Amino acid sequence: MKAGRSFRSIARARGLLAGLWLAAFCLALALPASEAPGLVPLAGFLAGTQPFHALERALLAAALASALAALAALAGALVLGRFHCSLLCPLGTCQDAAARAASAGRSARRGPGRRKGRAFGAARLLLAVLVPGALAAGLSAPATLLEPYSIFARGFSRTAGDLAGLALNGLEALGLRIPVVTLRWEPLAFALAALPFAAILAAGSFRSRWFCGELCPVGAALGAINRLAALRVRFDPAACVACGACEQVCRARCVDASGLDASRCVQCLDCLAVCPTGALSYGPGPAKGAGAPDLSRRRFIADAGAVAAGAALALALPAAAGASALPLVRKAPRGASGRLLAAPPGAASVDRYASLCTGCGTCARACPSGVLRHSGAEFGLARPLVPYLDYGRAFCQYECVACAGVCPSGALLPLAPEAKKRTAIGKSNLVLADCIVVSKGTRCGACAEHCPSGAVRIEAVPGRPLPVPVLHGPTCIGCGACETVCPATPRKAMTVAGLAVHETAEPPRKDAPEGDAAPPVEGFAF
Amino acid sequence: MNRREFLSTLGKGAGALGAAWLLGGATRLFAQTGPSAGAAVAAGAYPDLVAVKGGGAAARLDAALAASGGIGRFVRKGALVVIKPNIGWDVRPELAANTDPALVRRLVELCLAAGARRVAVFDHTCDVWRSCYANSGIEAAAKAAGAEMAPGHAESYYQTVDAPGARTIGRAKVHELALEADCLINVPVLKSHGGAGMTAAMKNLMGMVWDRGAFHSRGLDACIAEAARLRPPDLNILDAGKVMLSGGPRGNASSRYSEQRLLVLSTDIVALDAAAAKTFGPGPAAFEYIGLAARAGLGREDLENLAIRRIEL
Repeated sequence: MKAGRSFRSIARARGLLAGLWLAAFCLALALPASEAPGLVPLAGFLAGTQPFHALERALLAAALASALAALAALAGALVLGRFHCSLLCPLGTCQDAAARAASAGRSARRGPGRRKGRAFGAARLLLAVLVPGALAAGLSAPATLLEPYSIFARGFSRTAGDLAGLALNGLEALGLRIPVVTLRWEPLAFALAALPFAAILAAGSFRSRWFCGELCPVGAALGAINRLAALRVRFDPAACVACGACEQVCRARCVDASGLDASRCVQCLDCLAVCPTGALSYGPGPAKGAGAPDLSRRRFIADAGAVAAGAALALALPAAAGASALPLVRKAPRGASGRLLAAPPGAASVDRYASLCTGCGTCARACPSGVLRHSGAEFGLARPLVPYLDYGRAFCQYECVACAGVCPSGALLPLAPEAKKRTAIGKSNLVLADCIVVSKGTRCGACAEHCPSGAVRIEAVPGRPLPVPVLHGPTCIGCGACETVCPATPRKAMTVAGLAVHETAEPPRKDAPEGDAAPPVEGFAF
Repeated sequence: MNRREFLSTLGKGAGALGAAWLLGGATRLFAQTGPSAGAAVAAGAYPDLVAVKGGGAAARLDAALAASGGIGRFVRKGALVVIKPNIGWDVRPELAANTDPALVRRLVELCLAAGARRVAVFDHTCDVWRSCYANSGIEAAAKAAGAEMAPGHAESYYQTVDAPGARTIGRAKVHELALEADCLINVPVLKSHGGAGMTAAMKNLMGMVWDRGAFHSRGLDACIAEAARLRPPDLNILDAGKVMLSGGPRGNASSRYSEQRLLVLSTDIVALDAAAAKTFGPGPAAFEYIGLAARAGLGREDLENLAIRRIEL
């Protein structure tokens, strides 16, 4: 029992740290960057700590920080097993919190079910191989739907985040002097983001961490390592009195008197704090009994078979997708207007970007103007929730590179502000007949006013009674400012179509002499 | 004060104003709009327009106000002062697309020194508002001087007003702070403008309105000329320190500039824009909205007939 007491404080410290870590995620993602721009770096940092994307980005972008994060996750797993799931995964801790809230005030027996789950580790391994394999094959949907950070980030933003915004706006309406939070209602994105998140939390309230044990590809991969970790929970059947104490506290539903399923164990150490006999212990080396690495031939063959099946499925997917009549992948995604959708700066190409994006929405959260929104199936059924720029409601800010800076997966590559100002993500198109200067005979110029690159100018043109917009395509970067502000109805005169492959725009024209050095003008003009 | 209270206060204020009018005590009350600003000032005691050249922005403002009866002529003790600079763009102060933050800072200091209860600074920006406030340098300057930066990015801040004579604009939504202000000070920057040719004092008032797009679609010049009817500023201070001559209003890599080191101050928004137009180059006749506003009686464009005080520092 002495050991039990010290494990109790370790388990408590773990719970505290996990709670603080989750709180940091919640803080970083609760409000869009338009309301709390100072939190964008925190969101980027936290997203970057999650192992699936860290590995993806390390391989894609050879980014040092991501490589270090991926290596740290691997090294950590080799030493401490699946501790990531109980300490660092926001979706994992969120499920614990939701289960706790759902069972608050009730006895442990009425809390979330903690009975040990069936061991079907092989099936989980299949997912752990299939998800990254499909991503590598350009089909992001499995990762989008199963990668835990992505589920959490967009789910939390669209539920608790938007509710926080509503609450703040309620306080503002009551007289508190705070800025109004701009909230945008996107039914499809809400359904695709909020419902799976809510379902996972609900499931976790009935079967503790159901998602972690049955579906999570990251958990499955870490669970495979768990069986070989240097330090882990061990079970000694000879010392077990089958009191059931461990079963009542196990959040991972991995232990009872029949033994410990190491692939599920998230190393929270709660069981060690309650085991009265020392049948559960923690330490290096092999444990006696069922907790020992199961390297029997049968288990090995099952695991190897699952990995091979996952790999084979992943390899077969592109061919199957190609043969499918369904629009699984759309390399030229189009919006309702029929124009090509634009991908954020840093995407390099729409296909590359959409094939790698798991729709976590961290970029959209970091976007100060709110131009980024989740797609439905515009990029293809196998590429849901990929953010694109919706110029109908806002435009990409010239000085901003936030989205590229926070993308944890490498779907968006970091971009220096000066490079961004020359990166054409789309091109503007001008239909002069729709311009109100021509159709209504009134002065306008809203497009040129907002154009940051000087691609649109208002110029006197022979044969036109009023100065009209003139577009110089090569300098246009497709930021969408002209489209957003064009007042023409029903058709805007200025519209932007995305570029399938991003280009380098010509630098802003310098056809006028620089006047900065002009001497001060003396005297008065009036 | 919430919006409902504010609206009822507005109603009471209008009633009080009407009563004052009937009593015939202050014929200039309407023109001045400030609660008690007009009463003490006899017409013609001050120049119609003051222009100051040279020095820094703060020194120019000090000199202009000294020649205009001091800030106390406009700002009374306990007043809510609302300052409307141009903060439209997320660009650095050197690019002169926004009002000089040093000018805003000095103005806030003077208002508070004159006993203002609260000084609020806002704009309905074109780029993302927080970026504009921060990167223009105006947020830091205003806050350092003791003002608050008020947001203007959401429709709920704007109240529908029915301005008589603003037929082209129709019913516009104007920022509640501008309507609530005891003293509204318009502090535009002079620069080129793709749509309107030049932006100065009248055009700057478009940033008090929610639906700016309607100005474009209904006729930009007519709407700009009518904007001064929505809530006439009590004072207009034009920043023409560094004037963007081309590529405005945002400015771009090929924008040309003129170092004017000029500040113009007037209660007559049309006269101010006429002076701005002459400084900018082609003169008031080149900008339709100036003539429209003058003919509508919102001010005078005939600078030659006005009392102008010119000061060189």
